[in-house]
Amino acid sequence: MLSEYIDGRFSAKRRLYVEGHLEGCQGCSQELESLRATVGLLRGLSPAPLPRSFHLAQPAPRPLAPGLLRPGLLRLATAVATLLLAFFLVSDFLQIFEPGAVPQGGPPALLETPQARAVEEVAPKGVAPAPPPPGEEGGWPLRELEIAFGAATALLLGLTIFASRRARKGGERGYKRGVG
Amino acid sequence: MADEEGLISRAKAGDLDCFNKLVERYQGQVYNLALRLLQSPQAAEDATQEAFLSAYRALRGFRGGSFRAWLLRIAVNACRDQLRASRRRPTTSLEALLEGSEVRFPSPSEAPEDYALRRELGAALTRGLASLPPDQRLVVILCDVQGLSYEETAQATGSSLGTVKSRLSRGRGRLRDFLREHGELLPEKFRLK
Repeated sequence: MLSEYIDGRFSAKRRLYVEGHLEGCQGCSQELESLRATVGLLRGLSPAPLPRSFHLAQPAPRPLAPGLLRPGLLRLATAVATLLLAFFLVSDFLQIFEPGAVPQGGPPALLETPQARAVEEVAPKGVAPAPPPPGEEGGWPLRELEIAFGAATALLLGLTIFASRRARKGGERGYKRGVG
Repeated sequence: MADEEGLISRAKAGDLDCFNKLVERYQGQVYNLALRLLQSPQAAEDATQEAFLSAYRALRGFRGGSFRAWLLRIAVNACRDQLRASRRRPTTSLEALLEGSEVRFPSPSEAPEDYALRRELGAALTRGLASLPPDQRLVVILCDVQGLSYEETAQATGSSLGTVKSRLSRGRGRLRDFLREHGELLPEKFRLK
């Protein structure tokens, strides 16, 4: 309480109350005087001289990162890879690129020619042709594309973060040493 | 200060010269705060540089109010980082800090003995501050040495007003007790009753 009184933080009413008490209490008066003396000494403490100026210097222009390790280029590549990955994932989910179903009833009817009759003998009506061997199904190899673009996105993201941090550290070092 | 608001808004827009004008204005306070907290001139220099660098990066986040309190909050954090990074024991560098301590008193022509007196007094106060718990020392330095208001101190320390008042009261009381107990450190005319 005396601390706030010393700093003039009390309302007029509260200050009068404290002053009334101090008039009749020697212990509190002495406490107040010793605290005031301490605060007075602290306020008189000289600041230490500055060892130097702490101005920030204009950083040197960042040199272009060598070859492909430019943050801007890497960010663009990461964005493109991410979009393609998203495209393939959505396509897979919506089955946009599933191989087309073969209609029941065999291939559309041909003109009745001896060759057509021979085709019918080989692939009778109502029977779907044998499925293509594995690995040669119709449609896109979506799983492989998803894995490839997922890996590419992760790699590009890592390179982007690395290149950005490297570029930023170079800029910050430039600020640190001021003039003087 | 209207001109300070102008400097801040131009510095926010990227004008480094304007930011450096703010640095000139506050570098003394920031350095002295760091020096009293870290009790090492080298650590204080590093913390001060980091504080201004952090302030420049974070300037867009300054939304008005006391710029001094905002800046000193950053300085306090920079000092904490310094302590953590170096695991410095403050008392090992106390002697270096005592070298530059003195108390100023207005005196048109100062005799050598008066200068010695001020240095003795400053050294005693520095020892007393070093004896305080860190949270009380910080508040006493900000309020009584740096001259911040209670509100600015609350902002600079990230504490409530009540906490500031409590720590200040306890810190001053402890310092007063220290100076009484170690009266021999003080020149006779300044010894507390």
